[in-house]
Amino acid sequence: MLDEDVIAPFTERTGVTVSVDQVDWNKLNEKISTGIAGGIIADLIMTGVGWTQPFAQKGIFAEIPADFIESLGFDESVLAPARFEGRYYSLPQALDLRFLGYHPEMFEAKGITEPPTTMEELADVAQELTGDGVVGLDYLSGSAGGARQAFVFLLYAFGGTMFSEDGLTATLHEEPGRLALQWMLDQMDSGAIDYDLRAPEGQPSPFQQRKAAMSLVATGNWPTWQQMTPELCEEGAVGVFLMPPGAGGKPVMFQGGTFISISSLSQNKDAAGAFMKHMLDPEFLGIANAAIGKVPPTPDIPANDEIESSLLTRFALENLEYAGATEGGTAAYMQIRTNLDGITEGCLTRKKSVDETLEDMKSLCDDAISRLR
Amino acid sequence: MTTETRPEIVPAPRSSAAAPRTTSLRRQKRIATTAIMVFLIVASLLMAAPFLWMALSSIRDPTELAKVPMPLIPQDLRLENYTEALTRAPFAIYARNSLILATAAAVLNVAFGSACGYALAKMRFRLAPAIFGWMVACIMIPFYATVIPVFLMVRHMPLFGGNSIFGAGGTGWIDTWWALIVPGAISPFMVFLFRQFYVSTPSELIEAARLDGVSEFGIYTRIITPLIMPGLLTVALLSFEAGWNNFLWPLLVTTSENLRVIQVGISSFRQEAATDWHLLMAGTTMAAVPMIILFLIFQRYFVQGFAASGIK
Amino acid sequence: MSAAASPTTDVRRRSVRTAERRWGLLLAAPATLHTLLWIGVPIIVAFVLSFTAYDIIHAPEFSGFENYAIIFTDGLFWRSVLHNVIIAAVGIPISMFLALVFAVLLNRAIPGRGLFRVMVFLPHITATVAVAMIWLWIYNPSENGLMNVVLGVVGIGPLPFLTNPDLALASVILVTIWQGIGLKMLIYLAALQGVDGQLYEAADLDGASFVQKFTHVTVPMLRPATFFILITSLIANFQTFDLIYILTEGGPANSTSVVTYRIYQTAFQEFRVGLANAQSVILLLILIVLAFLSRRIVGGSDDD
Repeated sequence: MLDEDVIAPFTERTGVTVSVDQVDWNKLNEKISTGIAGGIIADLIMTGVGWTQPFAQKGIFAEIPADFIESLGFDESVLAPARFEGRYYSLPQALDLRFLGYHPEMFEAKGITEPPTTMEELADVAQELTGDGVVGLDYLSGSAGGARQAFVFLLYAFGGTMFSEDGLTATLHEEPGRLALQWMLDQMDSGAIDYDLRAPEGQPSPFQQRKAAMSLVATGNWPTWQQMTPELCEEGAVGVFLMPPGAGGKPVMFQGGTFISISSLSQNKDAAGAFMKHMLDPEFLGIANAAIGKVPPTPDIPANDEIESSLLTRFALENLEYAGATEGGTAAYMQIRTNLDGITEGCLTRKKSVDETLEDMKSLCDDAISRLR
Repeated sequence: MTTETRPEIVPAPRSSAAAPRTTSLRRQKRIATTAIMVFLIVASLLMAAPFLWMALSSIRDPTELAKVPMPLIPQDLRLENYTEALTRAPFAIYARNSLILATAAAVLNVAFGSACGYALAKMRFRLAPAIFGWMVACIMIPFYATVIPVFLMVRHMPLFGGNSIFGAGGTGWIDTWWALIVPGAISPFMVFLFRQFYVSTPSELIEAARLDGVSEFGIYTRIITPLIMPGLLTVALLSFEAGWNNFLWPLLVTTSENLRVIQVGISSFRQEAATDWHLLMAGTTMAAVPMIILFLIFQRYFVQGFAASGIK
Repeated sequence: MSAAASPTTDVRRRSVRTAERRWGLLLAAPATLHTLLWIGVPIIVAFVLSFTAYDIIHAPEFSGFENYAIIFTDGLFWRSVLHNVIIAAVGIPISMFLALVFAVLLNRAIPGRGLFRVMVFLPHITATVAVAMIWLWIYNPSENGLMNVVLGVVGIGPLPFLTNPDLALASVILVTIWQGIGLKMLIYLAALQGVDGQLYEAADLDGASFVQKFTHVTVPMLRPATFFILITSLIANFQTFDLIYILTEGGPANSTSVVTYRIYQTAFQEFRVGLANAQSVILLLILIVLAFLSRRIVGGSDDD
């Protein structure tokens, strides 16, 4: 897909050939590590949210001129994950945004007319919808991220952040973190969230099977829905709303996605830069994203049927400014990332109390940050 | 089989009093055989169930999965899954590459692995125990512990891929057949396995051959190795299979399409955003078919007495 | 033979011994040199790096025994070791026993023998990624999860196989047993071909029962194969990675974390290569101890 529609026009225009080294996403770490160790790495690297700061700090990613970025007119919310110490080292190319979806007829059956607007309301609605083999809210099944990201999303909903602005102090263990964990535990106690509900890769999610009234949904779910449960993609079949704020703040959307960077080891920085510009051209942003159900980082793209036909993408584009819940923000994040999953799960499976969990989170982050050099 | 029929033949000329005993024995045998068959059918179905489910999934329409309960047998066969998988990537090239890799692994392991295994099992020389210990230790090293040094060795291979004699300046063996084949060419696992097969062979045969003036190399190739043909075939099959299913190392050392192997091709159906599971299942099923055929052919040589006939 | 010893046979025997020594070394040389280069050199590098702080990007910095000190206080690492020990202690005996049963039964002339053999070997042929994904489906705690459908018939469940920290390790063990049987059966089957048929005939003449033949002829003849299978299964068990990565990612709450997964995380997710190498060194030491122990259990690898 990428080859024909995005790369071919570039090669035609500039005469520069581009070869794509596609890597299974869960082997990306090994590929990049060995590449870095051996000093051979692609000119252009596509990674995820949370990777920019560590790789910028280590000097793997080259800085991107600010005037180019300003010329793109992207929203601040999608640029924040691309920054390290006030400079840019990557750019969003394809976003995967998460919010909440619901089955309108289940809302109707319980006489609920409006989506919830606060965390308390969300809890109440979830509880009300629970019963008859249906859980109120599918939040942890894994069809839209693991335990870590579920926690981070709520952390931001309750007005918290993961790290301080400079990325040198952990803040995730503060009050909002406590509220986020406690909120999940409370919903599990009431039965509104079921920890054992799972959606293995390739299997329909509980929401698709109508075993969950509301669900965490990701824009990338749309192609799966089209394939497996096309009835969900019909007009009005699904309702969506942003994660409501916990303490009178703004509603939030969780932001994941693919970010492009230029390797500082690149021998062809000019060509790499030209190709990056090409990929960020509104026309090609539209084409590349439409094919994989992801969201371009800006709504200013030429009309594209596939993007407009996706309720999820449309909704995400309308609300880009709320995409503030992001992972990372510290150069030490690679050492924190996966360990945070185990710690969060420890709390959700009640092996550890909320206090112990927050303490573990803090010491994990402090330890990792103290090792930065 | 011979062991089962013999008792029936032997008692036959005896007195008529033995006849009822023979029939009850026969009945017992029939019950035992039936029990064994039932056990084998149930157990092997359990073993194969996940694979069968995968094969069924590879022809299933995605919408069926969302149904509750999901029909066990797909209602309409979707062979498009296969054609779609095949058009997504140049699988002919991938299969060719995997075939070369697997054949090389099988040949090299049989040739050098058997030589080393035989020497360790049957020949007395000073370094033998040390080499054997070394081989076992080699198996113990996790791939992830040495992958970075091995990668660096491949990348800095002197005088290859534009490298100077000091291994700098170019890319060495990266993205070449050398990198795919050489570092893993001889598996210590296979050496160890060969050694264990050779250990069971009779040493008297070697002594006798020596007295007859057969050369040491001749004893290894013409006298002892034919005795472990099933073992040799096992190593060939296992090496071939390991080469065919190799995934991570080829992924790390190749970048161009025409050196990609089949498992790397299949893995591209698995994406962060959404997995094309039906294509993944179709691809994996297809990749397994050559191995199944190979195994079916190969297992025919597993007939008890095969090796014994060599001794007689 | 020794009675007939004469000066000429002595000379001859000596030259035979020299030839044996030379040829032994010569035959073992290619494999030995290859492994010395491609495994030995990397091991030395990895060992040296285990005394450094190395993040792949910056040059390694000597840090003495710091990495080893970190490991000794790293509870998760030792928990992962413990998980491996549990998986091995439960899984290996069961899968070895089942593999032997399959091998002995499928060595007989039984209708459909080839098909049975393939079916048992199928888990080994299929790529681990696909295997793990299918087991995710099987363990799915909903109506679509095959395991819960089966248990539902008996009136049990549904069970949260992979999401309950107390159940997840057992679920993983089941998969490792299932996955391990094929290879073990094949090796046993190959080893059974080497068992001299005359031994069985002799046992038959002595009126030995099937069980007696099994314990007195088959089992002793299979000792080298058993030793091999035990050692390599132990090692393979401590190197379980892809299966865990896809099935559970070591979760929930690290309840299925295993050593190689931990090494992988440390090296490739946290980029602490020096520390990961120190973990590998510890793993190697554990495996060497286990290898000696299992040599004791099986009673040596040969008839010596």
